[in-house]
Amino acid sequence: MKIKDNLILREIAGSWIIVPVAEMVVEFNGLMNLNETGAFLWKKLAEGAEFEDLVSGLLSEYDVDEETARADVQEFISQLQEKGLLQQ
Amino acid sequence: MKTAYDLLIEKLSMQAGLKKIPLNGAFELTSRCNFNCKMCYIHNPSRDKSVVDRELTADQWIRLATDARDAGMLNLVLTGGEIFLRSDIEYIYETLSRMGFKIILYTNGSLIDETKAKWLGRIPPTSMEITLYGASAETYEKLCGNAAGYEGTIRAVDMLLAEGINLELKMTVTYDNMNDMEQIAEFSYKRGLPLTIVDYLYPQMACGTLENCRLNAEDMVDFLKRYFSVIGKLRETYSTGELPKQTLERAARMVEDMERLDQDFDKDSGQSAFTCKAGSSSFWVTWEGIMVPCGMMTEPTVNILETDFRTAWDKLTKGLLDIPACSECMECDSRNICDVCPAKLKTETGYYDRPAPYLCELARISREKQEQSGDKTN
Repeated sequence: MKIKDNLILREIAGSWIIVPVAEMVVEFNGLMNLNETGAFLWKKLAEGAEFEDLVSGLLSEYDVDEETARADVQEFISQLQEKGLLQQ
Repeated sequence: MKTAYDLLIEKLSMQAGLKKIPLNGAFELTSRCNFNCKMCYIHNPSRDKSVVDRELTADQWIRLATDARDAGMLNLVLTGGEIFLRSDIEYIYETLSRMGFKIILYTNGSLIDETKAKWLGRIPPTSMEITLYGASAETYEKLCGNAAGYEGTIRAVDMLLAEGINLELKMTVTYDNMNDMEQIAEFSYKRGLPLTIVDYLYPQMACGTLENCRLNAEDMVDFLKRYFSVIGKLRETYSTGELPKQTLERAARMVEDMERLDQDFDKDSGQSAFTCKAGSSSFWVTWEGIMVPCGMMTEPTVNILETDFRTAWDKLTKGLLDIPACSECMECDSRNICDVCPAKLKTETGYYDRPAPYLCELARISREKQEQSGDKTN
């Protein structure tokens, strides 16, 4: 599970935004707004984290039970897949 | 109907306005142009070396962009003059395109050949805005002194579309091209492209003598009425259908967020002279490196070569506080249909706080025509 190249996470005016740049604009010419948790997961993914790493990351960073953490990670990954932002 | 993307941009813009973050920047890369449009305020000769020598270098623009990004800039307009006259435009654009901006290119389109179109297709900007000055070589010759520009621009539009680039078209209305509007509108709609009518010419854009170029208030109101009638018919013919349900749902959620922000914004804006984002979240840097609130304002100014970006932005936002609001305009009954702003008042009257007769006339005639058409329908 790896984020595609040319996607930049930026914090702008208090919002976390994924900005596609250069060649990636061909595939995704928009913006993606992430909440605080989404930005946390994105940074972990960018560091090479896998699904289980993301779940354990959420558990250690936030006051959340494992079931909720798994569901949140799954939803986040699904959204990225839906937008085509992950490498196959 | 706005998309979730439009609304996200608006939401960011409101957040930036509240926090005085320079979200939107315009870099005027050159003052040179291959057209010599009668109404244009910035069209130095294409090969004027003395002008080239005064332009910021590519590396100066890139350094500025880096500092602006660190301060929060997301939306970046590259404009001129004609940006494709710069011999280093590929280096500038390619570098900026990897830095994390949403880039919009303003161009007359005429210098874009197949090679440039393919290059842009590989690393596309968020969008390009191309101005159509007429619907024939004759109009281009009359208005821009460049008959060949017409064919070149039309070819460019089609080549860029073939590369999948987001395009928007603009038409600046003057007496020389007003009768080309129907053809320009049809050209736009046939290709599914949005068309913006630039219906206000600043006095410094008005061909030397205002009367020869800028439509008088009555003619402008009639022109716009004709335009709305034309696009109404074209919309029916070239409709692209409804937006997907998911897009509408996302947009609805964003609207709720924005309503909350709106309340904060109203509390914050108070009696500011500005209703736009100039100086609260937007800035413009001229080809020589002068930061101004927008392309039409000549003050406050900060030379970005003499200071760092954050200091320049800070000076700009503070400088705007000295610009007085036009109290007569703010209390005017026609305020909701008058597109008044400090830049227009200053260039029309020499003052920020005095109503401009041309704008008043535009608003008065618009209101009268609205009332007349209302009477007819009642």
